[in-house]
Amino acid sequence: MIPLVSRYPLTRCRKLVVTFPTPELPPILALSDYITPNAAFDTQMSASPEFAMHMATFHSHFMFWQDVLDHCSSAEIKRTLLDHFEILFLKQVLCVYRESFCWAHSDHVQGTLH
Amino acid sequence: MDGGSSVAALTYLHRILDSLNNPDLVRITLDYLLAVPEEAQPKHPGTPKSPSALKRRKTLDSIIKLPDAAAQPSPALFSLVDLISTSLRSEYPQTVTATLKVASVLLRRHYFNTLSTLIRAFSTASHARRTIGGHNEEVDRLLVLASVIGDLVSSDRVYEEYRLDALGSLEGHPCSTALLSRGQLNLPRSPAVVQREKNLRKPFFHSINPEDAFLKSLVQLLRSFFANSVETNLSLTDTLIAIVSCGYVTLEGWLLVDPANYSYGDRGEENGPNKTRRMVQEVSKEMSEQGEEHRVLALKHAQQKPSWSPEAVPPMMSTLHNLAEQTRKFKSDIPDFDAHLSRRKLLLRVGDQLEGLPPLSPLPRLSTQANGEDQDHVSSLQRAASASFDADQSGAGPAGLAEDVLQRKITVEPVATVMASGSPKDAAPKEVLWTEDPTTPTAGESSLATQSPPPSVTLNHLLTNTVILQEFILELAALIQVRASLFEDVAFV
Repeated sequence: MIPLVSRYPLTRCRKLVVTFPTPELPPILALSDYITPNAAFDTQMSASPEFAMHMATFHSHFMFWQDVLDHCSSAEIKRTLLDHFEILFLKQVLCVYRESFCWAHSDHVQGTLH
Repeated sequence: MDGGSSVAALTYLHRILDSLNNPDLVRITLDYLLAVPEEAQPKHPGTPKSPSALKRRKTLDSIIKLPDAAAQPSPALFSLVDLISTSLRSEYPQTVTATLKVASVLLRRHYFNTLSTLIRAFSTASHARRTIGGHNEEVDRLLVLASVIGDLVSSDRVYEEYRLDALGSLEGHPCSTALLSRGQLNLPRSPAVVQREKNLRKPFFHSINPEDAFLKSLVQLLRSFFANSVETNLSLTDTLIAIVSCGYVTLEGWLLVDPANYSYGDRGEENGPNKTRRMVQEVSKEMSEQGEEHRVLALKHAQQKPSWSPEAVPPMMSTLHNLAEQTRKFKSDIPDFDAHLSRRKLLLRVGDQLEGLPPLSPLPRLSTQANGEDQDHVSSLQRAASASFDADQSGAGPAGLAEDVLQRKITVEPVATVMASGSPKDAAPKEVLWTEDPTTPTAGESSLATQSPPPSVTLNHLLTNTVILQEFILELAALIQVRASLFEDVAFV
């Protein structure tokens, strides 16, 4: 089974701030009060190569899962794969965003420094 | 207090939802994340579970089981809907933007899974549709709003482009295939499409409850449109367009006026029903059939443009109206606002081709080109910019003065969500406070929404958001217009 969970970037990227490469800032943002945020030490920036690699890896694994399911001719194997997906992935997603919800309502430090 | 943890979770969720294609994965993912009740999940033959599969499932459950039963995640207790509704109220703009993107992808790609979860919808099998006269009146009012915001002289080509875009997006919407081919085209479908449809919810005609919490959250964000970040506004308008793009949703009641509130008051002999009846009576001299007379009367009646009271306008539309009215205040209080707005529109359309040009005051009006090529507009603007710069040169130089003007702060209050019964202007904020000191909170006028002082933005930011608003209203008008012809959701009798 593709170790979606062990390589799942969410377990390593707990905080994210959306940024754009400065030379390529879209004109509509440049013509506004948009300020490129400074990320805290534990926060990744979406424009960083590291995050781009994380997201690309995650996406490729996810697409591979779908491809396997699309071409799987055995009903039982397909059922097992779906069970694995639900228990080992979906439930972990629920854990992560429930935790982010708790963080959002606690007195924890913000994800960015202003 | 909010942080990047929500943004991280929402960003990955957005990627997941955007990438979901396999019918079985779509079903289990959305049913789980949105906590769809068991009885509402689509019945599918699926793959029956063998005893060994059940045993493997049980083993997996025991492996993953958390030691603390209370920590066991359950969508029934906390679902994606809860995350979205909470995150939309966040004070952190990036969280709001990321949430709107998740909502938008849900609505665009998995619309019917959001009904009864994210959006409270109700079936409208017998819902009264707006008449053709009512439809024309609604579209006309939207175009008037767009013209209140800014000059529409050069927007004809833009509006036609929006109509073409709307046609493309409506035809390509996942719900439209079934709607457009109902009993009319018997096109063969691939097994993959048939299987996919089995796992999806059956579409049905519906409307949205105006008291729906998600809708109210969107209206709340709309109220502070000019003070929102540009990213939030782009995601907000994208989400609203995504809702309107489904052919099965009826717009009356939550976006457009309910036809039950139409009134055809006496507008005088020329347009009143008396003239209609007289015309019909003249026609009926040649038509002896009683039924034909009634039909003609009904046709004429449907073509009449109705009127309605401001209270009948749904909050979404009245908020757009109030935002447009607020721009009147900007024009009266901010010098050369129209000129700045025209230049900003051109800058955004042409993009970085105009970088380095000096600011203008005022901008000469450019005539619409016959071929409509952007390059011709750029060349014309460059020529006009050079001429204006040479003619207006002073000791300080117009470049520095205009830049200073664009960075000055403006206080913007959120608008109301209802139109005043007297004048629509009563619903707009009383005054635009133009201040040079961005740190000084506004005095006198209190915020309509909260106790906190109203936000201040630069003229630069305000201009961009004003352009976004005008373009959104044009896009909405085009979408409503194209929907009417494509889905026949207006009544002609």
